Amino acid sequence: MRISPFGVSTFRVKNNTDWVQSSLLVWGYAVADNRVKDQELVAVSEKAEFLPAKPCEVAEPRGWEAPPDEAELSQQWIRVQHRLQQEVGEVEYRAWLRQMSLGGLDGDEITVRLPTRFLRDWVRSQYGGRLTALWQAENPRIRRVDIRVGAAASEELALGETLAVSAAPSPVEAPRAPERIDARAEAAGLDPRFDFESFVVGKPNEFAYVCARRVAERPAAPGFNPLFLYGGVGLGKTHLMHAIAWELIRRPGPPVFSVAYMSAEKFMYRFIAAIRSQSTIEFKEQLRSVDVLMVDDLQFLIGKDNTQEEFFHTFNALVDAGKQIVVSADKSPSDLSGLEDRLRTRLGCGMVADLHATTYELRFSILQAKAARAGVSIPPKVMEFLAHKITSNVRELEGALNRLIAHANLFGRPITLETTQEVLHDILRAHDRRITIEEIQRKVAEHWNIRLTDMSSARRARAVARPRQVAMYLAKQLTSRSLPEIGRKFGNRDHTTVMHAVARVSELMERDAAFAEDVELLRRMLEAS
Amino acid sequence: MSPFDPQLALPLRLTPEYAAADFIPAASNAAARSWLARVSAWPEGRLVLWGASGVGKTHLLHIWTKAEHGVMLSARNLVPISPPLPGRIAIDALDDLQDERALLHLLNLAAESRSAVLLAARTPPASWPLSLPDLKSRLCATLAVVVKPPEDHLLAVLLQRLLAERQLLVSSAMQSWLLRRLPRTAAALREAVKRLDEAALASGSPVSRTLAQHALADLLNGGAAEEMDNC
Amino acid sequence: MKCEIDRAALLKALAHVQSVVEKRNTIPILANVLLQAKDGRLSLTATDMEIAVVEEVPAEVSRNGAATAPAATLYEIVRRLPEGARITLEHGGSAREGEGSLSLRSGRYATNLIALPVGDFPAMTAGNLPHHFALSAKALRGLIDRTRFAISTEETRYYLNGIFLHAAESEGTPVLRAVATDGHRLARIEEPLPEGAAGIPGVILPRKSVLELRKLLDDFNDEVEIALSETRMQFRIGPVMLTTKLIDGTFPEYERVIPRDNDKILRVIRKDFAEAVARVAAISTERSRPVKMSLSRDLLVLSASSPEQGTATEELERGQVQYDASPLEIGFQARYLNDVTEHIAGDVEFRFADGTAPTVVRDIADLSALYVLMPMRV
Repeated sequence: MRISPFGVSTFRVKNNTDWVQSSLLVWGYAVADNRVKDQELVAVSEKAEFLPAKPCEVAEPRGWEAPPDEAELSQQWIRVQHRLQQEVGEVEYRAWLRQMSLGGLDGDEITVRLPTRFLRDWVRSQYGGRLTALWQAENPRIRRVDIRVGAAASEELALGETLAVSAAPSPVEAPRAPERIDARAEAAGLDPRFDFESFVVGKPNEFAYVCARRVAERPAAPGFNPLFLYGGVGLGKTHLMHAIAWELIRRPGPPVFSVAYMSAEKFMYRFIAAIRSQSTIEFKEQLRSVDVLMVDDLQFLIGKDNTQEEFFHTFNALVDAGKQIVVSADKSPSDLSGLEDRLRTRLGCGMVADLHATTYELRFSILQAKAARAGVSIPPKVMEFLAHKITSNVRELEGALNRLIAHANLFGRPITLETTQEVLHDILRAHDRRITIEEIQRKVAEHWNIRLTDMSSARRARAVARPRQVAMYLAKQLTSRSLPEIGRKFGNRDHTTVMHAVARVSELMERDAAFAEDVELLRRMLEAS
Repeated sequence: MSPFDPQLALPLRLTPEYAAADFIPAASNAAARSWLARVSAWPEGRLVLWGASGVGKTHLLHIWTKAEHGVMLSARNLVPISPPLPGRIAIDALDDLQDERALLHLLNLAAESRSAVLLAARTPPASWPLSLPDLKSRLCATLAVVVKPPEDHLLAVLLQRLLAERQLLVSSAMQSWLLRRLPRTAAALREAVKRLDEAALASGSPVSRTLAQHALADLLNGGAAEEMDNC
Repeated sequence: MKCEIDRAALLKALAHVQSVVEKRNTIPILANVLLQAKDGRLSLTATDMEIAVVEEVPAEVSRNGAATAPAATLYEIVRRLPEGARITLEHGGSAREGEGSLSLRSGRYATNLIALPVGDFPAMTAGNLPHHFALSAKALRGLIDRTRFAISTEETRYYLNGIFLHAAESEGTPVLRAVATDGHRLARIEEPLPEGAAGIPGVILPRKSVLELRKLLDDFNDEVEIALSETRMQFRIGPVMLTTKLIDGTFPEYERVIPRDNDKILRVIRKDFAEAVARVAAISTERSRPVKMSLSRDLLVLSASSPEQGTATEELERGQVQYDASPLEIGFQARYLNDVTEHIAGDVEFRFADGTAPTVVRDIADLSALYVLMPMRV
């Protein structure tokens, strides 16, 4: 179809045979010339064959009906657009007017279309006057401009252009593509990045790491079956399980072990699906045919009695057949209340290894290792900052680093302490916000069993003054409040008093191990809440 | 005709079009747009858009879903999904999330099937009151991009767009009158336009100052604005 | 141009076309009617650039040609000419078409009307009209008459200033639907879907076009041929053709406001109900004062009050009403109740949810019509 700026040919045509030129009104000629002579008029009218023909009858398009100055009108429209662009400037024109398209000319009225109601209303209210003036100047016949909703500009184009702005010229892909793809492992839902080489070992996770290594080398060895890994979220349980699987799969030589890895959630959904499709036997057989079964996040089976039951039987069948089981959970087997006792007992009878909360040193080495793997150089200051600030778990720490790298790639900006604070402000703020001075005061008062009001009272007895000093110390350590601000919260004390308290507590902690332990405990309680 | 007519109005509504052409690009949403255009650059294939009510998150989600041929889900009605997952999933209004396990399950499945997941909420994940620690740590590790409140000069455009969404004709004088008095937030504008539409429909009259004063009594800041009017 | 024509024929055609002409027109040419004589026919055209009406009448044409004349004046003159008169219209024959004057002679009466140039008369093109179908004048009248009272007259609600016409399905049957609402009440009328109308876009026919179209349907009983695109609609009513622009707006999702689960059902004899409402409402002319309906088992008490005039009540009992749901009080504007009952031929069925929710009103005998009324706070 020919694309023309005229309404007649830009109608959406659903069926080509419907292509009707029914511009039938007898005065169609009137656009031709303002001063038509009598004979000419008659001549035109003869061709027009007005009413006797049905208005809707399919008829061949007639040349005379197309306004004779169609090309001229297009030219005028281009000039109008150009003038408008000059008047309002490139930016504004692109924002609002780029999607205008020309409708038809009807008597003294020209139609301009925009793709949405909003753009129509906006152009009408902001540029309606100018458009009319420019058209009038271009074409003396035009008195009015009708701005309507009508599709013309391609929606696809608009989508792309709306989204794609101000991105750096060559964004680099995020580091996620695996070097080695194993279809079997992919299907099992294994993350190719989670292998032993990428696991950063430190004091808090050393034991679990060694146990996992051992299982990967010799599955189903006595004393290591089942292997039960537990610890808080994001500390590396899943990583270690995937690493065991990779180790077994990637072993040189023909595959010896078949490995099944799934989350407890997925175990449950598969089981339910099997019940629904009456294929529980196949499900059982499938599970019992593997050499290594790994189930992640077992705590999700709490309250799902039927699934637990099924798992228990699978578990027994596999262990009896000398197959390896690896299980992870957020708590130790004895603390997993809600799981059946007999299952808890069996879970705890192999090797139980926990992953502790990270230390500053471990966090720093994790960042170093991650950055090295990603091939990005990150200033030590930034890594120190992150290792100090993001203490919750490894996943969030790595997440923060990934965000920094992705941001640097997308916007082509170097990673500095400033950009770090800017990019991560939402999580940093949440970490800062977590602890308030009031909370610290409450926890400390509870710990030493004194009244909360004593935190701001003038009493100087040691039984009250020491806890108050500890609270000030913790306020300084755990919040971003300034010394005068902290002083104000403690009964309007001077900032030098706070300074003194901080120095005094630090000094005492070095001398008195029991006191230091108390303060550390308080700090951990506050950070954990 | 009094605008405080006891006549009730039919709850006539129009689903917003969320057309790409209607999105108002500005510095406040530039970062969000850049990220949405580069799914391949999202760490872990996940992205959170957060920002105050009315700043355009839902609009962006619609544009993205359409451009990427994905599906859009609402957090409120999220239920456990079984594979296969679509390649692009957007979940709006995480603030209303009911079933945390369903979301965790979905994120895990999406990670396995390499589906990109776009989430939107009013606040960053770190401040969401989630009870599943696993979900919380996954979301806290997710790239979160803020959609900032609209720049002051955009509020006039935003007002016009909100009116156009409801096909409500309001003179430009009346629009400036409203802009001078309403709180300068997207959420306030949205609420005001909704109330004006309903009040005008009930009274069968155009949007006038009298109508606005009654329908928006608690939103308009009278005193300061009167002064500005007199200047 | 020169032609001779019967007064009756010319008068009827002028009456049809001139009503389109805006009375207070700022563009002089639009106050004119375009006359074109050709080969035994005279066609008359008037437009306000939103609507154009063209009508053709037989005439004795002695010279083909065209002219314009002030519509209202021409109409008044022809109207005052005696019945059965023959009228001769003649225009210049001067070199410049349309300039000068149009002469009208009938018997011993003669006049010269100032004519504006024919070339200035605006064209209103229909463009491509991909959809066409035919509908009986009776059906079209039915669609218009039972919806037009609900059209909003509030001009800033431009998308409600007309009748929404579209193809739909009603319980599995394809139908042509006409819907109008002003936000207080809604009327939805259905006709079996005519052949050719299945793929039509939903369009909003502006109020003025509805009224003009309805006038043309007055004494016409044949098929009306209809053609439309997304922006234009054309009706051919015998020798008359009306072309109109359509409203550039989106009609709201009206189906969502039609309640499906209202289970408090009142059936009432139409005539008794309408008369009682009229009597009770006579106490107050204030629009904002409702007629209250108090319902209990097989009893309907209508009441109204006015602080100045006093109160009025009327009871309709078993035999006139049928109601067995829990008691209910609800108030409506008397005018809205009248508008609806006026268009119901059989007995009336109300379906309520409660005193503040949309209420469905139907004709028990005719399910092609459905009305929704919004109550008032009472």
